[in-house]
Amino acid sequence: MNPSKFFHIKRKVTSVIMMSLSLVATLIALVPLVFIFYYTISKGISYLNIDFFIAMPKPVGETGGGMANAIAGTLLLIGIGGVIGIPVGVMTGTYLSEFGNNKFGSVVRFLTDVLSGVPSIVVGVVAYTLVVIPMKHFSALAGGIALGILMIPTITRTTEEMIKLVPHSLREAGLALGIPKWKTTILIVLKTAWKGIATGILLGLSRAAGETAPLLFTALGNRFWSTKVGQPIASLSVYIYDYAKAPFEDWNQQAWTAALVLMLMISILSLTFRIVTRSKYKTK
Amino acid sequence: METHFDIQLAKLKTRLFKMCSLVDEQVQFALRAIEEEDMSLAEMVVERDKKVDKYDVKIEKICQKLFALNQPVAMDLRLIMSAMTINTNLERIGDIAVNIAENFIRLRTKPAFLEKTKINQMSMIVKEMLRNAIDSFIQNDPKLAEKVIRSDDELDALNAENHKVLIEIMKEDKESIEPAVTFLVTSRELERIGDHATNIAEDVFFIVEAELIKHKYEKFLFSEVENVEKEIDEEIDEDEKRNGDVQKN
Amino acid sequence: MDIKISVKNLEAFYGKNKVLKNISIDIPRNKVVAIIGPSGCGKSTFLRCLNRMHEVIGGTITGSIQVDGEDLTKTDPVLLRKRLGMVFQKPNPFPTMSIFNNVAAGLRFNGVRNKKILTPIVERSLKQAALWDEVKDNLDDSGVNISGGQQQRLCIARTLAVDPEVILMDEPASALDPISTSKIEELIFELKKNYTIVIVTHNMQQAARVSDSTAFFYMGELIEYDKTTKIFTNPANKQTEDYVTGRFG
Repeated sequence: MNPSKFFHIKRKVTSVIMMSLSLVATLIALVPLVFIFYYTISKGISYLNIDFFIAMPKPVGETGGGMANAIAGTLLLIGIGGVIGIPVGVMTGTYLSEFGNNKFGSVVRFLTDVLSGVPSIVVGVVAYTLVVIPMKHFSALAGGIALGILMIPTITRTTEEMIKLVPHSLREAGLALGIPKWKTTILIVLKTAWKGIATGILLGLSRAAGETAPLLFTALGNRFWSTKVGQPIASLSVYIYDYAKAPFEDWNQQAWTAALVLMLMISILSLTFRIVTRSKYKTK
Repeated sequence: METHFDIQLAKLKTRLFKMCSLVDEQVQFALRAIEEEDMSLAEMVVERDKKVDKYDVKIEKICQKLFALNQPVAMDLRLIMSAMTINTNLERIGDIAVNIAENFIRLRTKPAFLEKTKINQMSMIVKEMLRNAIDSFIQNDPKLAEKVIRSDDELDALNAENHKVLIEIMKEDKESIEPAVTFLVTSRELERIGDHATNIAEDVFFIVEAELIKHKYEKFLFSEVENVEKEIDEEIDEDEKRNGDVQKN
Repeated sequence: MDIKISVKNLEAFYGKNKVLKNISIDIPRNKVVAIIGPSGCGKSTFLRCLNRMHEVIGGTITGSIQVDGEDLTKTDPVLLRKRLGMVFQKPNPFPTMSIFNNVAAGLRFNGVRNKKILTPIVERSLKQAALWDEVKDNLDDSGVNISGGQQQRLCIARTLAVDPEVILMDEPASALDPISTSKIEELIFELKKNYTIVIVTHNMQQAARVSDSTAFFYMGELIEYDKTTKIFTNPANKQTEDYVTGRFG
């Protein structure tokens, strides 16, 4: 066989081998994801009924009941967290991208990166020290604050990146029309980057919704229905923790269902975001 | 869509048309001055030449500006190139009209022998050739241009005849020498107007058909002209070789 | 001659880097001035100094720029930019807004939100930009869903809507196809009746077609500034001649 034909075949074979390896690697990576979905759905579906959403947890020993308070609690906690985390994150991200090309900006960026690496339990301890102790009891507020702090780095970084993606020419266009810089930044640049920023916010909220450790000594948990900000509150993540390690099988089941509900909540949140931020124009 | 450039081109054409009618009039008036022995008309022709010169300069400047600022191609390019040469030809025709007028002013009267010459026929033909040449330009009509080009030979023949006749007249009568010489010159001038009118017609051909048919390459007229350039090149090369041989010798 | 913008001894710096050296030039009212020169010669920088956009990227200037006799540096840049509008090289309509809102952006973002006031202004601006007929039925479509040439005309309409006195154009057609380019050039002929226009272009032939006066910049200096006809038929400076004849190194 002549040399060029040999190399041609060698190239083809190498290509096929590499493609197959990539495919196998992808499949391997998908396996845990598939398993999680499968297990959560199959194990959790059996207890998924209306009761779960509207009933309160039954005392130890009794079967049945629901996790209405936990669902409400998770929503309230990420709500409080969002109220803190979203404005701070978006404004910091905007500042960094528009005005942050100096020493101060670098410091802020560095600190944000550090914050994103801090273990969530440490954030919980900080919130405990700053909120729970002065208030002299656990509260939803403390939990919300902890979650908010956790959201900030994600939202800040995403906001900054998304704004950086807005072409400089759009800013120029705004300025050249005689629109002051602050208006240009908010009404044109932010508006253009909005979709990407919303994704960052969604990521932050989703992460917060699943946090367990910081809530353990801030929001603590609550067997009863409560939506008072100053009182301890239940949450799905803490319930999953409690119920999964309990010796009762019924409770273990409920833990699976809680996990399923949590996943569903995040999916619905994500879907809502997509609908709300979709472009009102048909793309070409 | 009419562009800014189209407007400029239209202005150029308008100026040229005006120059055409001006020069046409000059020729008509010069010949009529002789016919009717009208001195004041002849003097007016001489005076009006200043206007013709102004048009000449103006049109040339417009063409230069159009070349520099618009990089014309295709038909636009041919139009502006030809505008410049038509302009020059018109200006020369104007000068010739002035010469004819001036010569007659010196004579003051029509000589009797004029009937024996073909000057009158030449005048008619020249007037028609000029009129047709101008019309062919205004109307972009190559057929009319063709007519002009074909008339040139007749004009040359008439001029040659006049030559003979006038020389005979001069031999017979010494008194007739001055007027006869004047009309010998006038006959030549009329033949030259015919040449310039022919040039204009050739330019019209260039604009419309994109073919250069200068200097009576009649064998290429209205026929396949693809090999014209090649033939001309070959002829020139041969000439140069021959000259080179002569120099060596 | 009525001067709209008067520049004297302008020097521009980015940090310690001097990019414009001692530029003095008068821009006449309601005429088109083209600025040509090789890449990096400072022409875009100069243009941006006129509406203080150089400050956005950290530039500083010394010298004086006066618009209608008023010193630029003493005017609020936001107000200044409403009087001197700018059109950029790459069309940059706002992607999140409709065509209508794009044109009205300059007004809406400065407080005018009443549709009854905005609608006639949008229509007038789109007509002035020769875009009205193509988009009048689709004013609520996205501003980026139209072709590049149309987007650029949209940007021009947007600039016109705030009723400036001067339009600064930074290579407005260099990202467009030839037909869109010629539409924009025809537009400039119309616009100069009501606006003073300064256009930076690296396309010399465009400068020749479109402008009344041309300024040749090289390495941050103004080499020659004269009527366009003169620059392209008989420039005074050898460097200018080398540039316009394409003989630049």
